[in-house]
Amino acid sequence: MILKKLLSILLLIFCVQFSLAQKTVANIDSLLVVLYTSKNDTTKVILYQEIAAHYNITHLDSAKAFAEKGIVLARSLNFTKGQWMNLNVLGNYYERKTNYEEASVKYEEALLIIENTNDTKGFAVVLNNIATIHIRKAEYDEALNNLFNALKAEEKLNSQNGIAQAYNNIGVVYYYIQDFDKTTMYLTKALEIQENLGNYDGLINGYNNVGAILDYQKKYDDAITSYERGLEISKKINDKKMEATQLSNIALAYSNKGDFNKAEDFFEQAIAIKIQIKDDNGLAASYASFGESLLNQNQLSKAKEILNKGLEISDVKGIKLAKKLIYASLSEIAKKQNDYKLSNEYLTKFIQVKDSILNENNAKIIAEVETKYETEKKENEILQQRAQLAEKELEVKQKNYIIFGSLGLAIVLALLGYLVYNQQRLKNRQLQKENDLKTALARIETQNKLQEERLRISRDLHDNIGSQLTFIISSIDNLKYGFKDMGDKLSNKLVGISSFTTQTIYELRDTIWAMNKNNITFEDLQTRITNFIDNAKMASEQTKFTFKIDEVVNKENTFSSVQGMNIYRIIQEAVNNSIKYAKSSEVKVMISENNGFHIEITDDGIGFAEDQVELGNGINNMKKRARDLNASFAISSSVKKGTAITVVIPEKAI
Amino acid sequence: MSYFIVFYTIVSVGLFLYFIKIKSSIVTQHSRKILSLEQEISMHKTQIKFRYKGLQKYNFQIYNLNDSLRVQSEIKLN
Repeated sequence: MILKKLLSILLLIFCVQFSLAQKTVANIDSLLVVLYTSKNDTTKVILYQEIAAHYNITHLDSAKAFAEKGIVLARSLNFTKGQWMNLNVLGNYYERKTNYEEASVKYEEALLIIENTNDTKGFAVVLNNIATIHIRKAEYDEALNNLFNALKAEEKLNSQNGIAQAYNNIGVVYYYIQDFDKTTMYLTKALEIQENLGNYDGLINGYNNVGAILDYQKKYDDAITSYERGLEISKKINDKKMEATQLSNIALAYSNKGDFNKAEDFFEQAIAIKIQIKDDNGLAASYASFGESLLNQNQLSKAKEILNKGLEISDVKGIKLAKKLIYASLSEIAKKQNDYKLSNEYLTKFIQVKDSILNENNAKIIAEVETKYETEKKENEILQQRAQLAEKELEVKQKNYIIFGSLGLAIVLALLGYLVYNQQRLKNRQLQKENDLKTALARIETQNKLQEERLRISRDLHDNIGSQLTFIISSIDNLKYGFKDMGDKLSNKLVGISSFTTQTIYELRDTIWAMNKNNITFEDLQTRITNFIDNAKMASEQTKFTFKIDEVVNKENTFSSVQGMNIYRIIQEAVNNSIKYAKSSEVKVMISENNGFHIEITDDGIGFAEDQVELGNGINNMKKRARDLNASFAISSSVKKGTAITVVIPEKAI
Repeated sequence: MSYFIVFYTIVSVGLFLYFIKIKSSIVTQHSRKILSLEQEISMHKTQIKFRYKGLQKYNFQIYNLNDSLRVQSEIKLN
């Protein structure tokens, strides 16, 4: 009994969705005006399709002409999309007219065009509609195969509406093959999407199907509420067929609830609309349900009458599902009327129809199809995951390449910098060393040249002039010995010349000595002055010579050879002047140190008046030498009081 | 990864070898210059030494001092 009730519900929820065929146009009249005024182009083809789709819902008989015109125009324009769209609408028309064979032909024609144009959306739409025909004909294995293919196409397009339609229709097929868990799953999925999209067409189906499940669960009031929502939307969009379906379902719910009066009222409303719109399939289903309801009320004759009407339509149109339910009810009626033979005949026919609808092979194929779909879906998911993983790996690899590349480059640059720096440092060190050596070489070259020059001059002076002077001395000595009878005056004169020449040799030697020296120490100077004073003493025995050096004088002081020579010459000149011109009895040479060297040469000779005497070369030479020394030179003398010469060499000049 | 290591290692070693070669060339050139300069300095030093010896012959202070020494011709006894 439960199974029978369930089958009745299944029949009533048979409301498979038609893609691209259930939209109505708000203002059909203006659309018709546009159609008749427009040129024969692709826009007109689309207009034919839209108008035909509208009439498929509102005035079924008018739809065919528009769809056919659309096909003809599309062919003449070679507009393939227009062709398959109008063929699809024409298929909808035949489906609604319960002419499933013709509907199949139109859908197959449309599918052939789509396959040549690779239109994924069209593929999904037409496959869905072909599946609908298979459902009508209770060919569920083929229906499922087509629906899963349509679902794949919709998923590829990410068309939420299309996916929802496919889920809904798959749910319906499972409903028919009595797999209620899967039915609930697919219908819930469809309803969730339709609610999210706010899609009226889909919502009608959703409410209808949810109502059917509630009805099956004996929650009749909830089922009626759900159906009524579907009914309300059907009326709103003026979908007569769906309106009739909702009415029929409400009637069945009331019948199941035991409220037969209301049930009868709703059945009659549904049947009236189905007759009006010539929905034979729906009509057969409504007759089957109404007959069953009457059977439950034990109104056997009326039930039989109604069921026979349904059986007639089912036979003509080949509606197996309705036929199966009707045979079951007729068998029950015959049984109640104690006509067991007839009951058995109806039961046999029921089993035959049932077997033709559902057999083991069908179930197997369906399971295979579903498994295939699920496997493909999972494979796709795995492939997508792999692709994502590969993409992430690639990203990580790219990042690693950048990081390691930059790091390596930085290391190479650092190494290059270090090597260049090191090389430059080495070059600098080498250059420094080379420069030092070059400087040393220049210095030593200069020194060498100086030495060479000194040697040359020394050689010239001594070996040439010195030997000549020595020759003069030897010649004078020879004269003295050769002419022993010469007078004292001449002899003294010759001795004087000899002494002068000897002195000249000494001075020449002093010059060479000074020239060859880089530096002269104070001690050297002291020795030379002492030497000179000693000679002076011998030259002028009647004169007293004093040479005194103050104790504070630092003996470590050094002079340049020129300075030493100038000091020596000043002293020599001053002493010579005292001996030669001043007729002094005493000559003093004093050297002291107090912020520089103080040299003082004094005598007690005849002196001279500074303003009356013209100074000779000797004094001027002394002044010049003092200037060369950056020293001050002072001479003070007065008649018969001697002469004093003072030279002060400042400390900084030494 | 390993390609990077190999590539940068080759580049680094190449750079290193190149700079070692350049350094060797610079050091050789420098050594040659230094040797030449040192030889010149050494030559000048030798010359200066010889010339100094020559100049020492003309250090007449010693002569003069020697010359200033006088032989006492007669001895005067008190």
